[in-house]
Amino acid sequence: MKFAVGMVLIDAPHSALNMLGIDESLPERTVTRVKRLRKGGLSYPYVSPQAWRYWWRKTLSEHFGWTLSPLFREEKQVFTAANPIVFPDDDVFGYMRAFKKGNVNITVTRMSPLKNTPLISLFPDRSSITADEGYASRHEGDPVPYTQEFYSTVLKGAFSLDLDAVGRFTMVDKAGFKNLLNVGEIPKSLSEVKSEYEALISKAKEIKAEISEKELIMPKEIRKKRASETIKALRYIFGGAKQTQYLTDITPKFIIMAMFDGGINPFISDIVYEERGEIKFDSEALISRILEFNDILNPKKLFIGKDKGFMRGWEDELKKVRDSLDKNGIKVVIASVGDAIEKFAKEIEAYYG
Amino acid sequence: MIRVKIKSWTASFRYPTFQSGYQPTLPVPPLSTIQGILSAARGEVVSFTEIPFVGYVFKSGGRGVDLERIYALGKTETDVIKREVLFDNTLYLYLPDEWENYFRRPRYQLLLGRSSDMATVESVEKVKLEEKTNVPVGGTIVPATSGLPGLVHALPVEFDYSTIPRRARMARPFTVLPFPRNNAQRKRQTYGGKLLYDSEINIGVWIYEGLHGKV
Repeated sequence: MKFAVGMVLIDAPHSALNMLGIDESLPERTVTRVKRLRKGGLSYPYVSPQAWRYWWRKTLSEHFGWTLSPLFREEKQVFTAANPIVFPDDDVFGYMRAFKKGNVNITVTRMSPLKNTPLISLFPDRSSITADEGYASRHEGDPVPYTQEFYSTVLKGAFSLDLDAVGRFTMVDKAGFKNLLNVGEIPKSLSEVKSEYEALISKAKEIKAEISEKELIMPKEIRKKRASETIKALRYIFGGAKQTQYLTDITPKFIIMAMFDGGINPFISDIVYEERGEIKFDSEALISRILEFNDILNPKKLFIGKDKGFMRGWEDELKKVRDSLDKNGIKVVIASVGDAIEKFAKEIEAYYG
Repeated sequence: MIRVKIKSWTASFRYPTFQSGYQPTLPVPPLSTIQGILSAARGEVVSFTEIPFVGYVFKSGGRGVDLERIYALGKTETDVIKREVLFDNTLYLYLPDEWENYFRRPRYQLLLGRSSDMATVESVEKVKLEEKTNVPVGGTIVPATSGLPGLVHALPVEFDYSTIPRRARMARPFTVLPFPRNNAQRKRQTYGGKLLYDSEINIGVWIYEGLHGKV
């Protein structure tokens, strides 16, 4: 088991990346609101996890030439092809294809090896959200007033990629583990599905995938490519609502990454937090979190990327992290965001050999 | 016993009676979610029948509503539904010592709900809880027969993963007790019988022993 995990900060100086629409519970029905999570007396803007995933998938298609799994409909149902051999996004992002014909249930599901949190604002809404009063007007007729909210904040997000699961498909009769069907179990009456699967398996044989009764493992070159490109995409990630008006760069301005022999992400804690209108980096918290899981940190490396212009005051704190972890035999690579991601991607590639 | 402290930014636990439209979340996880977390940590499906005891306390900092586009079966157009999520959460699990290894090195990513509700292990500690009477309970579910006042729901205890889709193996009536926020709530949720007490978190811990078939 091996997990590539990380935490990102996205600078959103004036943005409305993911909206709630009009809140019908409010008296004013002309306000387009941003999504919020409430905590105590405060609310925090956020971006849905599935919105971030959607940008991520799109970026893989446009920057890395991934052929995305098509959506198609069968008897009024919609699903992706559920073919992780041909479509890398089915592999990395998972799928569910519920299929039942007559009494035959041949549903396949794949848990997503890539998991991500929502992107959550570090600032509460009272110090980050503005309601912009606008008028739709072309100098003819009456202008139409409308209001839309947007925020100025820094968003935090975390992700985890299960490197063992990428390019490895199980055919076990257990919910979540039946990634593929066995050709033998598809009844003759479903000739279409059968021929689809025969094509899928012959394709797998053609590219020299390892096929046993219980699993199908893609060649390591393909697994390596899919896993490392998934991480590299963060460097180029683009998307989000209202880009015409707010033009937010959603590539991370700060990123911490490491590999662990266990399904944990120590960065889902308060390493970065807000205090009296300022965003703080807690080097002690990061150091203690890493040392807590030092035994499963493998390789003994931590990758930190920071944009020069972002949080200029953090340099000293980062040096503290480097010096302190160095004493414990952990190498800390501090670089620009792009370089840190590239170097981390190299480690991922090295894992597949 | 050990106490595993798990944290997550978001969490969501399916509310049993809602099937479509608005999807609220239960304020605390049902036992089947705990089964899922234990299974993810160990890397294979776990049944409570093999665990001598288990207890949990869940605290959440707040909540919010998310929009989600769904593709409903038997319907060509997509829908947008509202889904409630819990924000800034902590889950304490009370388990036999041998579970320490699994939580120090979980086989799969730990989740408090759906795949975006990624969680992390903050600490695994050996603890000794004292038995007390008249202590408040909360952040957990207790059997409806406990006599404690609260929302009663039929909740799944365990899922059977040998069928696709998985099926609830057993459901029982439970009283859902959110973590008490004030003294009035603590008073209301005070259990008269004997209960283990975690003085650090200041709450009684309902321990399920030899759960299967006995709840």
